[in-house]
Amino acid sequence: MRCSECHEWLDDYARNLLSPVQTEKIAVHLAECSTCADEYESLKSLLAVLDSEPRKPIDQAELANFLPEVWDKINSGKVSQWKGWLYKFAAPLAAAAILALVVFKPAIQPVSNLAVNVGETENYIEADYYSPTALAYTDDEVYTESNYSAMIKLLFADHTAETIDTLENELDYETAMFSDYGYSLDDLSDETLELINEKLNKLYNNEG
Amino acid sequence: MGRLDEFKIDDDRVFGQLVNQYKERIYSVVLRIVRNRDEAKDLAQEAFVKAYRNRQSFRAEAAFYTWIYRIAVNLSLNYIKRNRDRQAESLDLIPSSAITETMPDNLEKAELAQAIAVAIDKLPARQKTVFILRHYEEKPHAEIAEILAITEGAVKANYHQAVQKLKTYLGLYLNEGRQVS
Repeated sequence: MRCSECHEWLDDYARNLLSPVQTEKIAVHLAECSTCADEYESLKSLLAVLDSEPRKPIDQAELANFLPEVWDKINSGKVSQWKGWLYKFAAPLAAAAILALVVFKPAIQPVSNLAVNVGETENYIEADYYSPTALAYTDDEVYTESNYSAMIKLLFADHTAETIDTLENELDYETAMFSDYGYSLDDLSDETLELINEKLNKLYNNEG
Repeated sequence: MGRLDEFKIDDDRVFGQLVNQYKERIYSVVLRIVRNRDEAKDLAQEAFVKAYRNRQSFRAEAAFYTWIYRIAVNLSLNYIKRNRDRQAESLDLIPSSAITETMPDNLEKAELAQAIAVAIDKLPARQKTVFILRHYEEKPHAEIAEILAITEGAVKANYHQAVQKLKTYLGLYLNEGRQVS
């Protein structure tokens, strides 16, 4: 067994989630490899500390009236945050889109090229996430302004996001990820705003 | 009555059953992420509201609970983004009995719980979410990948990075073997 394979299963091994055959393979490797054995010991120590934390079961009183309150919210017809944001900035977005088309049209990248940028971002986790190459990436290198922009562009060019709700969830998720590193929708370029506007217009037309 | 996991209906009674079936699990994971009981309840309810309003877009082949988890996690991450500068209620996950009583054992438990909560809170949002789903919700990598709409490789990588950082953040407890039994 290679060390990378051992690392991949180490957490499951520590949690006793593996089959007897897999467990035996890991145990044999740990007996032969001091590096992996050290990694296992430190993982086990961490899990032991985490598991010794007192866990308080959810107090049912905290969830009293949960369902009636859900119905109240459903019936109140609140507009979601993203849709509110959309309504608020629809006009500036449209203006920015027109400006981008007029002024920056030659600089707009074909969507197919954007995937390459995003692919580079994701490559470090797709191939072998324990490889020296993958671990050489720091969070600061992954969560950059250009990668944020590329991710959002790809999201809005993604033909699988066929509903406003899907798009909203995806946008919330990606933005929350990058916000840890100081990037927000305010950082998007006119080019990206144009893509967003185009996609939203299409979806709103489709969904009436 | 159809299977509860097949949420492709307009039957409000079935929706009510789904809420009651999953509210505790959804509230629990949201609370782990946002660490504020009032906000967690509000966000968990908002997740069900969004599910109800968008029930037409729910794909019948997907499990309802995966869908509702995903909505809840996205809302939680968005909450973190909006409130980055605001101090979370840092003691919200610690049993009140552990704080108010003066027994040394309870003080030690409270200190440990506080240290763990702070350590997890320091993780980047995606790593934090993956770690919570894996460790506290005990979900397999494949299911986490489905909930977060990322690859299984990305889940493993984020979990691995989270574990390495937690080892550093909680080094004092690991090195001194200060586990509270």
